[in-house]
Amino acid sequence: MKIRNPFLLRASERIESDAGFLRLYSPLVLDYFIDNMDAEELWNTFLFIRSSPGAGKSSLLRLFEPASLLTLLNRKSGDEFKELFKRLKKLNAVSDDRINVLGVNLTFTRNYELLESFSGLQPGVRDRLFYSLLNSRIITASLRAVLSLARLKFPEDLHKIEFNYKDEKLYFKKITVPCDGRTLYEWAADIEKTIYELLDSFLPISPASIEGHSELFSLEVIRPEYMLVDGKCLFDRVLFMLDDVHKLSSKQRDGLISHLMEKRSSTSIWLSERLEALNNLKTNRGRDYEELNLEDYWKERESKFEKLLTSIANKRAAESREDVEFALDAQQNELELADAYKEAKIVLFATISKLSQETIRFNEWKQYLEQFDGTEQEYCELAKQIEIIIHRNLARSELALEYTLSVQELIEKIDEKVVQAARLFLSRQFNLPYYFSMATLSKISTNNVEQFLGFAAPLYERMLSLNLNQTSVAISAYVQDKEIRKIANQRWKDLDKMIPESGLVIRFLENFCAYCSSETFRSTAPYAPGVNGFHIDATRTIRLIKEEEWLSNDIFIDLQTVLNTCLAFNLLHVREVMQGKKGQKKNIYYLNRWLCVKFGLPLSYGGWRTKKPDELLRWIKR
Amino acid sequence: MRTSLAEKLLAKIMEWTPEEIDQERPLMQAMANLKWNEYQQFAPGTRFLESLIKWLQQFETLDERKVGYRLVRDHLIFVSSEQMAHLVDILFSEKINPLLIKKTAVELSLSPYLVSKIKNDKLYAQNRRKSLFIGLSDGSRIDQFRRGAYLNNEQVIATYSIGPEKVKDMLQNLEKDIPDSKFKTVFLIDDFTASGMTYCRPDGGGKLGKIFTSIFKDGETFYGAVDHESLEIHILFYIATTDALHNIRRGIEGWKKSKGLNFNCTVDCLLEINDTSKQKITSDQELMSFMVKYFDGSVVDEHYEKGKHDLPFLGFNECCLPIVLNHNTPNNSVAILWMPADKKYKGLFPRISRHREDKYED
Amino acid sequence: MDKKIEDKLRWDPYVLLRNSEVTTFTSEHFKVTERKVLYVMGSGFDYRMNLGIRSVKNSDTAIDMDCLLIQYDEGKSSSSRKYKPLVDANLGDLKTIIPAEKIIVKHIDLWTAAGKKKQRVGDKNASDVFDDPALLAPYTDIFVDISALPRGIYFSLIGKIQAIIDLNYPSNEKNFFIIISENAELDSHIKEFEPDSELSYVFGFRGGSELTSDKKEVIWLPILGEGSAGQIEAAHEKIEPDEICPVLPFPSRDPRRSDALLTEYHKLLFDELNVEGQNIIYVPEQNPFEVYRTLAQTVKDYNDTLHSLNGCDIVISTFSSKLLSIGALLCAYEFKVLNNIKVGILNVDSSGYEIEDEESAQKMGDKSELFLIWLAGESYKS
Repeated sequence: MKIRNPFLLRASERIESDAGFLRLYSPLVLDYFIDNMDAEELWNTFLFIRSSPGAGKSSLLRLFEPASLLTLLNRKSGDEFKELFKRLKKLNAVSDDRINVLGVNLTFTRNYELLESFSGLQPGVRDRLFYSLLNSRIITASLRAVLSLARLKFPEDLHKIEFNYKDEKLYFKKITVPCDGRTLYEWAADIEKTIYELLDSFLPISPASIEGHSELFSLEVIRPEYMLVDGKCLFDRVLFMLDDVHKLSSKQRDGLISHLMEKRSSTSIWLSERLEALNNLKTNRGRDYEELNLEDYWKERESKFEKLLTSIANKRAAESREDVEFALDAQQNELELADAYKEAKIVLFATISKLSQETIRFNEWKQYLEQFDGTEQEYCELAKQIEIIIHRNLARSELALEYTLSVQELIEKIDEKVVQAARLFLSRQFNLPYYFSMATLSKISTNNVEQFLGFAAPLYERMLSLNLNQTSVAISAYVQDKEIRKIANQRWKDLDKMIPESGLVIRFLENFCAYCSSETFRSTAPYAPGVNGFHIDATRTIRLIKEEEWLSNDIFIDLQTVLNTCLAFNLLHVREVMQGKKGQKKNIYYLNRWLCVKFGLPLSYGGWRTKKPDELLRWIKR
Repeated sequence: MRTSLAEKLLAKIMEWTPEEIDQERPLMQAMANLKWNEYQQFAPGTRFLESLIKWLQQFETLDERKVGYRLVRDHLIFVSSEQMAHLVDILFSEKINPLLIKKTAVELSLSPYLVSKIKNDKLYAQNRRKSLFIGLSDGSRIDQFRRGAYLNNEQVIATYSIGPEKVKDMLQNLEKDIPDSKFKTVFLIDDFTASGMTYCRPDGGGKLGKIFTSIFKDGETFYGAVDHESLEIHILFYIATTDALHNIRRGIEGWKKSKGLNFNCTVDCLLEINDTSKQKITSDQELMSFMVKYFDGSVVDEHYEKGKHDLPFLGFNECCLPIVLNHNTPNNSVAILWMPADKKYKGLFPRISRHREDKYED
Repeated sequence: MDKKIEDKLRWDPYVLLRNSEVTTFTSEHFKVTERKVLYVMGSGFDYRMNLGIRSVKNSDTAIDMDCLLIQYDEGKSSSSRKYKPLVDANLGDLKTIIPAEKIIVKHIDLWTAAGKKKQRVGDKNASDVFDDPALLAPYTDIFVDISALPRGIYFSLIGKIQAIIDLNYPSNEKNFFIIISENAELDSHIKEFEPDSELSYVFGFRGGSELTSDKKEVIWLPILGEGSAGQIEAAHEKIEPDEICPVLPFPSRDPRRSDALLTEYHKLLFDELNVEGQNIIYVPEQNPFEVYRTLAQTVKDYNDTLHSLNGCDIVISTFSSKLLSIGALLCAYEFKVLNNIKVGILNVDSSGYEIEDEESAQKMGDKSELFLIWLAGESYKS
């Protein structure tokens, strides 16, 4: 049955992820793989995949699950999957008639962490249970993946899997291997079940009754040659994808990673986790592991993301019984805003006149403006640009000689950044629409489809309402701007109900945004179009704290909390930029774009300022 | 009528801005689908939205339409069939079983808190069997109640006006299960009362008066079937106002006194409606003058006049309820909600009154 | 509803007492002089903290009573620090009810101290208090008063005590009661903020939905209360249910309450989470045993229906009053013991509480209603 406003629907988000989402996203993400490493390297490297929540890491992993690959193989020449298939083939994940990789996807939820904090367990026991729980889950997930790859049924067909491993290292104590898949599955499932009972029992259970493991042998025993169906080996390699590793306790995570690095075998292991302020590994990137940061990948892909959102919007709108398209005006409605621009024109001209009354330098510019033949809106934009350039000129050259600057010089000085800044300044000064159009909404969504839907749903509701009593469903730029700001304000208002440590976080963001605002709206627009990010310069941190350790120092515990909360709840996201000599990499913390809306900041990237840790700390304390 | 057309009309007559439509339409859709569409007295093919549109259209000004809409949006209490079924479902364990346990405890000289011991005693089973359950109207859904409570068919009757043969049958059946016994607890079950006036009138009339007479007057239908010695009578409603419970209790006391009889009799309900919802309406001047204006005095007949009727637009006996039951709207609710289709102003949930002679409220 | 289950239900019949019935009961109950009471309660800022113990203690007879007072600290932004004067006043008041030497104080950490990610452990810690079964041995009657205990604690605490009693005193040798001072109006003046970011199932009631080797359909029964949209969304995200059955209070004090809740949540429930209207379940607002009966029946019905899919896992979340939450607890406990269907409890706790309009809130405190819920002991001896 069709519904009124499909943009509100949550569950279908998952459906979308599986089919449409992957269809559109994946070819692009895979390009990133292909561009950055060759196939061998991809499969043989210990790979970290990091991103902000919602930026697509789980979807990327899902692509390599047997179910997705099977769909793909079945429809490989269809238009929608052709590109994707080509790329996966290039990566050797599939051949024309076969899937080469068994993707085993394991999501870490919080219950591993429970083991860590569970009172009454000896540390040694804790580790052993952690490994046996992991082994159990890796093995059951692998068996399910094999069934799926072989198009067999779970659990009925488990016995059709032949587990051919010769247990020379005596990993298996309670079952005899080789054995069939069912025996293996039941053994593994039983371990999980007993550990759960231990963790959930009101009455004491002795952990001694549970099989504990001292290593992660599951990765060693799940190999193509050991997992046969009908006597045949079905795939060439196994890919273990451990998702949401950040949900482990830090002790577990560190332990797991060093265990995996130590035991490095030919297995492919991808670890995906949320980008956090402090998850540096004490090993060398490149030699010990590779890292894929999905944020960086998105950087180049803004237009593609907009395409994706448009397609999602169209599909959602098609699901509505109201037969209304998702349409946002990309242009300002001049009729609607005529009065505002008329007033702005007068004010702007007066401002420029006043600014330049003591000098003849800008006479030609003024003349140029007066004679400008364009719409009111174009006039106002030009006037604002001139105003900014005049401010810059005045700031720099108080002692300059008095001669008239040419129009040519003016035009040279007005670059795209000034144009953007002028638009922003203008909207702020005269209450003109700034946040509107699909392109803008795409930017506001900050690479996050859910966030897009969060904004699109009320906008679509409005379109439905307009449709109910008017002919046009397109929302004017003015109303879009108003509504988008309203949604952002509401989100901000709800923040203390949504996030932990909200007091600290809100204070930090308020101070940071106030700072951004004051930097952005300086009359010379020094960082045009504006500032909405910061870089932490740890080298200039306080005495006595080593550069790489400052963040873990107790003095900065609040800052650490704030930064991690902001990253976890996607209020800030990190992008890497190359800067300075030798292409030094820097991490820039940018505001999620909806916060830019809330504080009237531009949606551009590149405007960031360097801050020392103690300066950041002051934003929290104040 | 297509929903979207109805919504278009609604938006038009309410002169809603797009912002208002954003808010109101999803709410109306949800509530209509969940509950309001199931009103059984809508004309065939009519659904809530169409009724709402017709209803709002009769109000002259936009402000009045807004007041009317507010009554629906912020005050209306609609008891759905599902909710009614839930009340029927919990009646036995919430109200009846504790009474049976208490009674058995007294007879066993046990503390009433020893519930397991009491329930496991055969006297409890006997007391349960020796209970007679009588539905006072169709609304009591007595059949659903019986099935849910696993009661014997021969101890549950849908109406109190049955012939002596039936009663004799029931008694014989009881004696088959428990020799030499009569019913010693009578449960009278009804769905709703707002004024309580039709149950026990000062003149001895009313449903309860009739039943009591039938129980206590030698030769009447139930007289021979009950054990007058240890008789308890419990009157249970699914929904009742505090006032009604009070009135009925007083009426019963009066009846007992006038007849010189004494027996254990309680009155209780599952969903008690106190004064609050009434006060919310009467303290709203806009709403009050709206209801005054849109009232058709012809609904006031001699029966209606038996209740308080200085402000007849507040409903029978000025109960001023915002209640609609899925099968009918009680006339104790504010009149603008229920006035029948043949009146000058029509109710949103028009009421059908079936038992004019006997029944003023559903 | 089908009554097949009735006779197998553990708490049917039940004893639930309200207000004056509680004092009537205690006066009679404690006439027997050999009784010795352990009264477990929380220390907090809530005005209702001492209402229960006062009412029990004030019955005509002298009662031999020890009080186990659980103190907990919610952390940095915690309200118990902010409202320290109220906490102290409550404590002072308690000492006028029961002599200080009869009060045993147990301190519980709600959070792990170590590591960069703090983690709720209050549920486990609270239940660890009763690890030693000898603790209960001297007492004939055990009360747990949850009026000033957070949800994050009392589920596991009650579950633990009940489990110990079931193990060591299987013939109902000990009386076990829960006391609640309920006050919906006061509740609405206490605002929660800063919800936990990492949600987890309550210790003892983790259910089965996190068992990866035995994946079943997950049915979620959220018991709805006002002002919890954020928490409901967070819980939904964590649970990822296949089916949702919202639970609404009906009948209720305010007869319009279920309609008002639908008005509040219609968008979330029907437009966003795509809940079917016929999935709505009603439970009486004032009777946790009926809540328990209805939920237990729903659990069984779903499991039977989904038999060919290997049954289902159930998750209950309470966003409503403590009284209703006891119904959820009883249901989960029952199935934990039966060990046939996994019923988990996932609540969204907050670390911040704020009293709006302290003055009028304090006045409201006196209008609370007292409930006594009898879980084990004489009542259930057959």
